[in-house]
Amino acid sequence: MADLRLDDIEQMLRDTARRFLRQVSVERLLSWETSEDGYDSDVWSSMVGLGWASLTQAAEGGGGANLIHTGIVLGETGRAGLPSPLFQTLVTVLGLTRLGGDPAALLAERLAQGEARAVTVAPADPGRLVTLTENPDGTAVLCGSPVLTEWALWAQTFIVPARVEGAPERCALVVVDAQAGGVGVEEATSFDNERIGVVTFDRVVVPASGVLSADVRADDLETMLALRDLLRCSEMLGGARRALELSVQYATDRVQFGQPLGTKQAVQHRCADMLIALDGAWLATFEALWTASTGPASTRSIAVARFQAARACEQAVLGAAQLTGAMGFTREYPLNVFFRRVKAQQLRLGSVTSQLDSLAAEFLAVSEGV
Amino acid sequence: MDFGLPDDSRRFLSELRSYLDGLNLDKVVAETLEDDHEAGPAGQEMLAQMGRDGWLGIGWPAEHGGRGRSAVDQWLYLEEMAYRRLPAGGLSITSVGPTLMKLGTAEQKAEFLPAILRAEVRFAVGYSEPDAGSDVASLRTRAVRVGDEYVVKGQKIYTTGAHDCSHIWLAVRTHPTETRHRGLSVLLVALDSLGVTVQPIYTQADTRTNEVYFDDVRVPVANLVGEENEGWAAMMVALDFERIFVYAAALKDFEELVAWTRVFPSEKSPLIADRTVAHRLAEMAADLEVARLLALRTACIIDTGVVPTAEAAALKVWISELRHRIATEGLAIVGEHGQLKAGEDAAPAAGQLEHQYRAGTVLKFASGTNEVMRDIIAQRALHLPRARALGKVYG
Repeated sequence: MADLRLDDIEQMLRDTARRFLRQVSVERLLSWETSEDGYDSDVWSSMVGLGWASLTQAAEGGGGANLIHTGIVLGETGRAGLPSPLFQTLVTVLGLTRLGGDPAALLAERLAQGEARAVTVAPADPGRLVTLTENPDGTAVLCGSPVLTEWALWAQTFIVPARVEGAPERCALVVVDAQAGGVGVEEATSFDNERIGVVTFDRVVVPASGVLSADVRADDLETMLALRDLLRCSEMLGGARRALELSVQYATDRVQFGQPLGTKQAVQHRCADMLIALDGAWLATFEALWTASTGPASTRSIAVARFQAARACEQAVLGAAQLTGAMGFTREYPLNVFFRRVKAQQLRLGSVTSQLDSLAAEFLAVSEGV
Repeated sequence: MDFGLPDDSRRFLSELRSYLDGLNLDKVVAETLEDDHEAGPAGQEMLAQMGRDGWLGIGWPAEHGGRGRSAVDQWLYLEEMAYRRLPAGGLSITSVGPTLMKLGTAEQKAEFLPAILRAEVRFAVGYSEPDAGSDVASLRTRAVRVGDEYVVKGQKIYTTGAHDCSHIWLAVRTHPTETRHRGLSVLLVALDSLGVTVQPIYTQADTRTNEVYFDDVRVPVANLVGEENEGWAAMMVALDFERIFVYAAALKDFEELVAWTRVFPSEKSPLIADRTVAHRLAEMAADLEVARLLALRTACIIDTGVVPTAEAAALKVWISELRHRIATEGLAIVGEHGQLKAGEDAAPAAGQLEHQYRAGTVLKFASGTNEVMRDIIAQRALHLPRARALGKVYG
């Protein structure tokens, strides 16, 4: 029977995560943001200890990862506004598990246990992926224009999905040491509280052992990157939901003209519209996560989720900014964290043009750029 | 969390599809294209046939002649009918019947339920009055008890379907002094009763609604639903059964729009090849997916035995606004040819864009205006505070 409520295990997972993340105050968020590392290593260790970094590993018995559980936990870190390498770790473990062979599974296990630090280097637009040129002796060379990469300076290792030169339908998954010759990592500052690096590969020589898989189908790689977007949607939706909660709280507490602001129909209707949009995007996101957990991922569902979440989350934070007025504009009130994070996360999904192109391709059988 | 439909539901849906494929329904579809609020003569004939074949009352329990299926299955059924542009029996099936099962007397159940399933009894809903729209509790139509009868005097308005329904589900004031929600009753009134006058009101969509006048109409006390003066509770129960709003009619409008953009102005250089056009259509497609999910969520909640109040309100707002937006934006995409009226050969998308542009505004204020729906969402789901009574704010 279809049932869109969280089941007992899902609810327990969410409640545990929410309880754990109560320690994340706006003061701590702001102090991490200006700190050297950009995150709290004790909090991170506890998260790994809770098993969160292993959520995208294949299930025991050979089944795919439970992406609903992953989405629920990311929804909670998003709701807390927490900056951490969790998202990158989950995406990287997922990519290694889905696209790599046995050596990749070993690396995934080490990431899931917090024993190694690796991030995925791949731009939002699959058309701009790094290129791999294969040499006859099994080694290969990586080249690519700069890629904005979350937590690049934190990582010891880069996992790079690459197009294979001269083989349009074939891609590769490559592991590269962050210190290897030709690898450039520059710090850059984003307007939210995640840490960003710009990664460049300038004729980086990769030994044969570094090519984890040399015959990844282009479609499979694009599905993997779509799943990355989908997980990002679940985290972004958590932050947008928090912005709505803050708005409702503020509208309930703030008294003007002798009444709480929230009694005004203009305020109520804006909040109602925020909720409708967020619920719709949440349902689309979790339907896509459910599909990908129970069978082949649906790129159509993911295209819907990406578009809906990008639009709804923006609507929610912009609405919250209006409803909370000058208070919401300040640093000390938590809204600014979510206001900034949601927009930055939305931009990491790529342009609205690319989102609409994907939808048009899925629903109208119209190819991009007609 | 489980978004999957059970095999049994899929089987049910494919049975329904083969059954409908076997009927000749061209005339019914033509009627719906003109007016999708009420079944016309061919539609009523189809419903009677479906009733005989056991295809009405999908969610009704077996003891009342239904199939006892889940709310999700009932929703799938309603979507299939809407997608094929067929009437599905309206509120008589989805709301009046189930309310009678809960509140009706044994005699009322015996008299009305089988007749509803045979599509012989069809109810119009008599709530709105000239001075009681969204504020339905201010209604003034009076019913005075005289012996075994009520004598009804007053007027209803925007009573859609009253001209071809057999009965009206009538909200009246039975207590002489109580006001607003107290002192109301619901009566089952035959529309051919002496003293009932149905006058047409024609709409901008070339559809018909009605004014209904009650001039000392005598109604047996046996036709009172539930307790006297407890009509508000009966109206709320009826409302609780009116929670599923379908999206497939909008999906069909959309598909016809898309089909048109593939061949106009020519197949070689169609409108859909314009990226701006494709993007606007793509956004509608994504919004239709959300409509499906909001409807599925509502049906799933009903299946857990809970009445989905705010969730149904969200569904109603989303679907009504989306359907009218598809018509409005669809016409904007079409441009000049969009002005051609439904019925013209060259009218795009079988004329449904312009027809829904004219007809679809009603979706946003009927069955509870979208403003009231948003109030419900804000107060029930988000628990925002209610305003104090007007007198206190300004007094």
